[in-house]
Amino acid sequence: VVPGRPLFYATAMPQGGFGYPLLAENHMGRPTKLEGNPDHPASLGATELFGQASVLGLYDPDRSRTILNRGEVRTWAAFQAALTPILNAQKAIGGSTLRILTEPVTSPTLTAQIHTLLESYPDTRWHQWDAVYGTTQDGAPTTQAIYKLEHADVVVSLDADFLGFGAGSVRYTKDFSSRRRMHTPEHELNRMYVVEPVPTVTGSNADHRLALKSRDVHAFAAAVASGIGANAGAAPSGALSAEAQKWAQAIATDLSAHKGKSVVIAGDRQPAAVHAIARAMNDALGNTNTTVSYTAPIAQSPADGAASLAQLVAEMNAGKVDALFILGGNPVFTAPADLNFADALGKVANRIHLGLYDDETAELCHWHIPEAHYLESWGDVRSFDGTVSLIQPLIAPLYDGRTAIEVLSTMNGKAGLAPMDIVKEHWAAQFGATGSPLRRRDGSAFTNAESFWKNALHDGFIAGTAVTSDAPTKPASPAKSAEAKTTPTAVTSQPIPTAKSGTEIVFRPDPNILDGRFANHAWLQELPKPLSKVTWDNVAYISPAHAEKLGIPVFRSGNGNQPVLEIAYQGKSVRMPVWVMPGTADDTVIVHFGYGRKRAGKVGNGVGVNAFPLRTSRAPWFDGGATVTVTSETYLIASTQNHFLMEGRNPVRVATAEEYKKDPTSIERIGQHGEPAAKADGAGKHETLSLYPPREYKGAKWGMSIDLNACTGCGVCVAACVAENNIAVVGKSQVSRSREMHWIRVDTYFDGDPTAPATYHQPLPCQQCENAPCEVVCPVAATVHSDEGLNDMVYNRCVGTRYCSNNCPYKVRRFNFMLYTDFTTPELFAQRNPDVTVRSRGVMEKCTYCVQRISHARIDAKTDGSAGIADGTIQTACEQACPADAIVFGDLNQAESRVSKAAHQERNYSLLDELGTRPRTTYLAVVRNRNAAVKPAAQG
Amino acid sequence: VDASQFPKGDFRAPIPVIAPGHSLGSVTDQLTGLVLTKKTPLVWFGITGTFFVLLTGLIVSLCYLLLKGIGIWGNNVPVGWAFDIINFVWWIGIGHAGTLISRFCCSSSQDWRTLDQPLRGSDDAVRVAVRAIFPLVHTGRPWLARYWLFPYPEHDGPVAELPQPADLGRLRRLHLRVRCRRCSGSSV
Repeated sequence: VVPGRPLFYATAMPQGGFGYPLLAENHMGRPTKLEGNPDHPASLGATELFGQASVLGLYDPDRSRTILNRGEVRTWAAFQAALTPILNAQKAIGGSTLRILTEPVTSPTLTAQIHTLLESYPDTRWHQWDAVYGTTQDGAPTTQAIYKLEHADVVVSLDADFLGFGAGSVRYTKDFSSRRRMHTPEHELNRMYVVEPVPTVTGSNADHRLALKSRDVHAFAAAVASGIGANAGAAPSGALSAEAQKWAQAIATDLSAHKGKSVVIAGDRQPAAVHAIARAMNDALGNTNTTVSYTAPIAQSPADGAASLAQLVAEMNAGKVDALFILGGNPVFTAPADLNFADALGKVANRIHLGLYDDETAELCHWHIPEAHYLESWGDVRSFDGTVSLIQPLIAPLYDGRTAIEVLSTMNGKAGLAPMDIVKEHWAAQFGATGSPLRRRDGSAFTNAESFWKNALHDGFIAGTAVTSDAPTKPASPAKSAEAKTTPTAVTSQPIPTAKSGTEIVFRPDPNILDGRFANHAWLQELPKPLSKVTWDNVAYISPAHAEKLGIPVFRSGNGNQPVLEIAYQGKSVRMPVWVMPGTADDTVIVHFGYGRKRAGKVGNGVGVNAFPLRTSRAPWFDGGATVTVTSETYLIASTQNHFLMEGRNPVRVATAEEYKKDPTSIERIGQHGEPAAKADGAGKHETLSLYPPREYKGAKWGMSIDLNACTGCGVCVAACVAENNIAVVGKSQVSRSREMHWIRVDTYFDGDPTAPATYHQPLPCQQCENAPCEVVCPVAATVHSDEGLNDMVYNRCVGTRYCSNNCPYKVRRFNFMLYTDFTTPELFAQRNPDVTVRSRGVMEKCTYCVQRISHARIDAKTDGSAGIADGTIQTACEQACPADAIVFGDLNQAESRVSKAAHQERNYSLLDELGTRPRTTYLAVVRNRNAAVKPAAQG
Repeated sequence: VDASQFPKGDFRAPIPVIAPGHSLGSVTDQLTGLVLTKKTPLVWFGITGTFFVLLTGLIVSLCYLLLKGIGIWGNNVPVGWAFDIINFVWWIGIGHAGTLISRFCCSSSQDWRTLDQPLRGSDDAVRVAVRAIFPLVHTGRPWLARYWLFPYPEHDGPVAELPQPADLGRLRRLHLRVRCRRCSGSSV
């Protein structure tokens, strides 16, 4: 270990059962930052939101620290002693009153352990529940689809948010955006149609998006299927509107024209019948095995979470459960309201809970065992494509944390085994048992189990474990063999028991804190949610037309009080602040759950409104028959964006593919105000008059290019920036006063008809202007131009006059109005990046293009004696995390660098060009690939 | 200086400012005798009390400001200055007005102006002091602002001339000079 030199270790974050491969940066034995694992097929170097943010969870001071027995502190030995009589009693009766409740599991080791347990206790049952993942409505799909979007010219999403959510989202975004980054005007763009009730990240990137109620998606899918002659199965009742019919026709025509080069994606929250139709369409179009492959479900012992939990609750109520092991999760808070899980739990004689927090479930359990954070754990997990990732600890457990693997090992009578040995032994056995089909990435065989293990740990995954089409994922799994691996192309008629009329209520997990599991995570709480930019609260979306009907103002200005809605459904009601969201399906209310925690911790307690009382096991995702009324109450919502219209100033420049191809210079003319720029100068497009002499850059000349056509607006860049640059959290009251500290923000603009708007995203870091308005006004020279073109901040010189921020036209400077950084909680110190100054009160701060990374590379280049820094050596935190590769950083003085090439594209433009600031960060305009057959007017 | 030293009608001859029958001694007695009365009017206590409360309020709010940060003023990112700059400019305006009137009086040889000169001088000093509070305390880190913003002797910069209380222009000129020097990047 060299002080100041971080080490990187491959690991993976389990979430909803699936693994998110990561590379953890370790400074002197403490993990500070997480990046994607560049070698892993599920990451290719990028991450999603939770991967970036979860490092803070490790250091959360509110994590549970000791084993508790009815609230009293106990030791692990005491727990083991208490376990023995319980298990002995169960052994005698074959485990018939023993139940295990987990979250979805893909971990081969854990699955094997559970199966060992089930063999010794033959009547024990294993239930799974997760409020977000693995919960389906009207049947779980029997197969899992894995998409290859880089081969798809036409993508149709049926209420699927594949870019913004889920284990595959990083890879799917990589593949999808590879077809969006146009290098020349002739580049063939893909085309995406999205049909969905809720505006999502995926929907906002569609070329054509239709807002449709969830319950109509089935009929819509059937209409498209019949248009291409695929088997649509039992016709769903309910008629589609004429407009939707027209859309279905146009999509069917487009799909038929792209046989084998298109893909239909059904959303996780849609019934099995819709998945079957999507499968039938892909089969009929010849897409199967080209743009999509179908495999057996990867999650082990796949169960419909709601059904599995309902069965468990029924047994608990019937007194058939004596011992319940809840390994992970917080079912007392997240279980469907109709199950009354908490009451049923009270009837179980021995309740044992393993969890990260002393939460609502821990409170009701006899034993609570603190769970080790994944950065403290040994384990394994499969990613969306089946590839097994190894989880290795970056630090010894900070508290007395145990993993589910350790608990199960103890239950299996193998107490005392080191966690690493459990995982290692499992894989050594696999290595031996299967005649070593495991190979290195290059295909060569391993000499022995030890070299296999070391290689797997180094890479972070086991090559060749990805599932292949229709193959079982794990040959050794007894549960798997019992399962039919059928892949029906015809639809089995699935009755939809939910109401088909009335206002539709749609349930969605909060995009940042999910079902409340991240409620105590301040970074995620403060991160603006995609599209609405709301922080620290959950809101109910309604459409603008619906708002007008209810008498709610459609446009808001500034951060103020929002009207509160009373949403009544199935005899229960919840009061929630409203958010008028353009693009929401009419007569639909979208309720985000996960907020309103009571035992989350200091950060998450009492934040937001609990929407779980409305959610039932019968309709966990959508149902009709809700009533929405406006109350006289109001509620303060803190949003980081107060205005969502471009007002003709075109900060985001948009063209259609046709226009752009016909006249590539059209981008330059969009949104020009005042005098057009005088003359072109090659690199930056325009030279404007300045009193200052032009600067010369003999060495590097750093620049950034942001491709707005690739950007999906997911916001992971913001999370990455927070983690890298020690950015403070300010809390709701400060965000409501527009004092958030994020150095990069993602602005969202809606354009056109509010019922069917076009949506654009624009990440906005400091533009690092050549003629920077901030530099000339600083009275203490705390912001100065560097000889590499950076607009540097000298924190120790800054006295906080805020002159620079007042003069900045992009409003990217952030000021510490109060003492925002936590200098008192010792747990949080370890997370901070030692290469970045921790700012105190009264200091202005802003994006520096990750100058600490530039310095590292410069020092390395000097030590190695190399002439310059090769393009791509330096990645800013936002660039590295971005799954869409929308952000490119590099040297504008190198003609062959990616950023130079981007700057020479016709799509390249500067924001607020007419001000003559000559920004160093430039944008590549949005080009949408419209289909003239679909009503084009609605899409702006 | 006596009027008799000048020819009659010479503009340099001082105008008699003491009424006939008074000597310097009697004028001094009258002026200093004011505070020797035991009958202090109640209104004096009222006025003094009011201004004492206001002054205490200023001190308390300044202390709170120094302890919490300028976030207590409600400023935010698009609105970096509000209360602070308005106050600053208000007191500049008041100070300018007083000085302007004083200059008019001076250039039109209004000798009676001599009488309230000390009063106006201290008046201006108070205005400058009030005005000076804001550039200092509006900064995020006033304790460092003292060091970085105030002119100090430096071999390649302007020599610090601490401005006279009533000399308005000089502080601003000096400030501008310091700023220009820093912008040109010649030092630091």
